[in-house]
Amino acid sequence: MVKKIILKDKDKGFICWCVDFHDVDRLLFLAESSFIFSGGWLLGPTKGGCIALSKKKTVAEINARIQRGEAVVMTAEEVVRLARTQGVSRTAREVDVVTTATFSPMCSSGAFLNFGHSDPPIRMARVRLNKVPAYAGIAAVDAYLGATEPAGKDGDTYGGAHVICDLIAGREVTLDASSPGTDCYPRRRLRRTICLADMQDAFLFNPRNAYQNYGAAVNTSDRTLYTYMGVLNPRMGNIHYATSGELSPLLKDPQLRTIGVGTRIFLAGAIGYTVGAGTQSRPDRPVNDLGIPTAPAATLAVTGPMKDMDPRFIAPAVMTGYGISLFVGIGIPIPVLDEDLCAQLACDNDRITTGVTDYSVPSLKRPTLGRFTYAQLRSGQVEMDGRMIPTAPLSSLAKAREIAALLKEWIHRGQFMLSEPAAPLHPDAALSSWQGKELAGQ
Amino acid sequence: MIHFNQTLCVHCGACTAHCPHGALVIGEDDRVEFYSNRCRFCRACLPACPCGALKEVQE
Repeated sequence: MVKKIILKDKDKGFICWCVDFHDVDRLLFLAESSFIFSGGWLLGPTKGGCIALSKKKTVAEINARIQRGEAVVMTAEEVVRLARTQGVSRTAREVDVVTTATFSPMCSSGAFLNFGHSDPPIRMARVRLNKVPAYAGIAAVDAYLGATEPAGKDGDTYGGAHVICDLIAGREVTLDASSPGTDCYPRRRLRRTICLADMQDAFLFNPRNAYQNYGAAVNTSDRTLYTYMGVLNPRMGNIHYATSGELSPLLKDPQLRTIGVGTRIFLAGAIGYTVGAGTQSRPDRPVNDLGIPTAPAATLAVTGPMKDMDPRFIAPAVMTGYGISLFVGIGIPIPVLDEDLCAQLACDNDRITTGVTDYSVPSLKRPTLGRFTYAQLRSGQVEMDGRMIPTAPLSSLAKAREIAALLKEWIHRGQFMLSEPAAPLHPDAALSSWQGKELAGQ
Repeated sequence: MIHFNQTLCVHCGACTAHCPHGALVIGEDDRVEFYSNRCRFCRACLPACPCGALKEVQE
């Protein structure tokens, strides 16, 4: 709101503009240096110049623009390029939503499944799906299938992640359940094939996904290491890293201003939600001058309906010599509320760094041997100790791009509205190092 | 020989740092490309692929 009022300047006595500053993010420029700013109001002289202001936006306003088909939506990579050419201020005014995405192995994933009741009914005490054990200590026909759970003798090559992906792809799996039998649940054994459509309910529930700036890995020892960060060749033979850099959700809203409990997200092709802060979330980690953590920091717990998921955006992973994991595709739209957030959204791979840690040290406190930008890591090689070391991602940038573009399309079509967090992600929930006493014999 | 299954590949690129002959590279569109003419069948890529997209097959 702009109101024209007369203010007496003690020297000149000219007319001034009086601007309601409450919904204004930033004063872009003033023609003359003298002005009064107090209690959300800006007073400035008009003679010889003008005032330009950047307005703050709200999620409700942006959603209204989405509904009217007027919202300007860009992927994080597109907005990086736009801000580079026209600046952050103008970009903040012009762009409403930025879509971010990642497609990485995320071990801490799994699915809650409800198989429906058989007749006679059974209270499942032991459940296996394609020989992969699922946790059945919940209720009669509920189970939680962890992505990393191995399938018995075939556990090196098949596990919970494969079952989850088989179900999402519409394939049948073999359910084998047993029970001691009770008066109310007399059946003792159930063995049948089952597909996702047969199930009463099935939702992915991942306790720790979308790590904010996971560290890169190297191996200084003389033997090959087989890790969840992939195969690490001896004597620093390679470096692996695992984020989508400037496209990665939690690197683009590093203070988690728009991502909180109940945020609507893209999860493996379905509309899902954040449950809250993920396990091991560390929002207290050091940040750079742009407020971006320089070490692994926040994480998200997420959930979404498996029946709506798309096999293109979720895939099993077998990390040789380590075990099973699950590639999960996550996309998060970030509303461009103001210039500060836009500046972080515009942050490119040249300004986001991560540390390279030595996985040959058998300790939680692995040393950081170097620090590189994602632009350097993505170049395919970096220089350490005077020699060039090949680098490779574990995270699929091609898939992340596909997700960011698809989410952008959903928002443009009005199929995906933004949500405001129901609560913040409990930034004080820092992880403390394990301090317990070890038991004898361990 | 090494067979590259495009359907199974998620284009993470983990294999690319393990191929000493430049047969596996991340292309300009950030998708993994396999140049079979450069492959020397050293098998270094096989354990590096988390998706089972690279397999050893009989010619």
